Amino acid sequence: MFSLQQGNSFQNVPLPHMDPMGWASGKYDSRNAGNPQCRSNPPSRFERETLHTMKQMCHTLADENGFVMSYDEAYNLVKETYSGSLQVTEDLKITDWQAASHIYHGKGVGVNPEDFGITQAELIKIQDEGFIKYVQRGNKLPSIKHVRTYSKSLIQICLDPSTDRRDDSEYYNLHGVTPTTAFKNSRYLVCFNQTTGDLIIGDKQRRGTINKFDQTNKIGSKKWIDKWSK
Amino acid sequence: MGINYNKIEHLELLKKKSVIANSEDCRKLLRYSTMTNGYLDWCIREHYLDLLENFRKGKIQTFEFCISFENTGKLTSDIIDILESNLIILSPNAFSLGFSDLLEEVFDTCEAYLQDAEFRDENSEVEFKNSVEEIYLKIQNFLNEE
Repeated sequence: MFSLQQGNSFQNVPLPHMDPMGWASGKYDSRNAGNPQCRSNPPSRFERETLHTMKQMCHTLADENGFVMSYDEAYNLVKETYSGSLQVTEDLKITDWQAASHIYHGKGVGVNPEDFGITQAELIKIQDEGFIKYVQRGNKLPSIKHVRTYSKSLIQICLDPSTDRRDDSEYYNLHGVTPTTAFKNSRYLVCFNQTTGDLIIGDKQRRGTINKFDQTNKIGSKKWIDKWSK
Repeated sequence: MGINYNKIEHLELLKKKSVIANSEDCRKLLRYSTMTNGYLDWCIREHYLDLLENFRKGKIQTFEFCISFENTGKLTSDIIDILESNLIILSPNAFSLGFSDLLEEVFDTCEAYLQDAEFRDENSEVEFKNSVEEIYLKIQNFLNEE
């Protein structure tokens, strides 16, 4: 029997004019307004006005910190968007969430953000204050394709025969020391938490950083190494 | 002052880089390359000093400073990669090594700042500025002794 209640697949997908969060997170592109089948067709007055209203709504939605959503909302959005993972070895993996929160390192391993419709300047904002705050501000989310390409580049480094694997490394930060499996070659360092198997960091490094790691088997700044070393 | 660097051995190691199986040789090559990288950093010291000055004067903010410093460091490593692939080796000296050690302190301070992105507070900024100031003075003393 016909029902006015629509199926979940449709009901959960709001139309752009009903979805201010979507505009805020970069889900929609204002350049696509108008007839998508005909690029020469300019957006109608209705579309332009709707877009303008949406932009104003997003601006109004931001709180005094510039956040357009709460921590929990951002957390859940990230959790739902980046739910997959890629296996590196039997015991190590790169979750989409971990890769997305370190995606600004992608350029160092040959993944050009512009190829995925986002700039390095946008991604660097993640590094400035962390992924959840970045999302809270309504910044554009990196695409899954982008995130997976970064993960695959790291996996390639890890599985390269010339890469040195070390299972007795240590990663230091303000929380303490983490037993780490590290993959290292002359310029790249990819590290995993041995307890959870999750990615900690994967990037192209300065030669000085690689040399320091080579000599000490420790990753992290001196400040934390001094604090947590026995 | 001895700097424990052997250019001839460095060149030999570079020539057989792709087939080095001995971990001791790998380590030695990395150490030599890091020393020549330090020499390149020394050659562009004015750029590092400009960044430090601009940060101290408040012309650039902490995050921008850290990223610029890091990127410059990575760029010099990229240049050394290119030079070494053409078997071109720079010659480190006592000054470049001394300067390199001080730069490493700045890099380390930046790394700690960038690493703790989600847990920063006002104290982190103050602590960072104090650390950079301390290293800056050491660099100035070092350059005055040059």
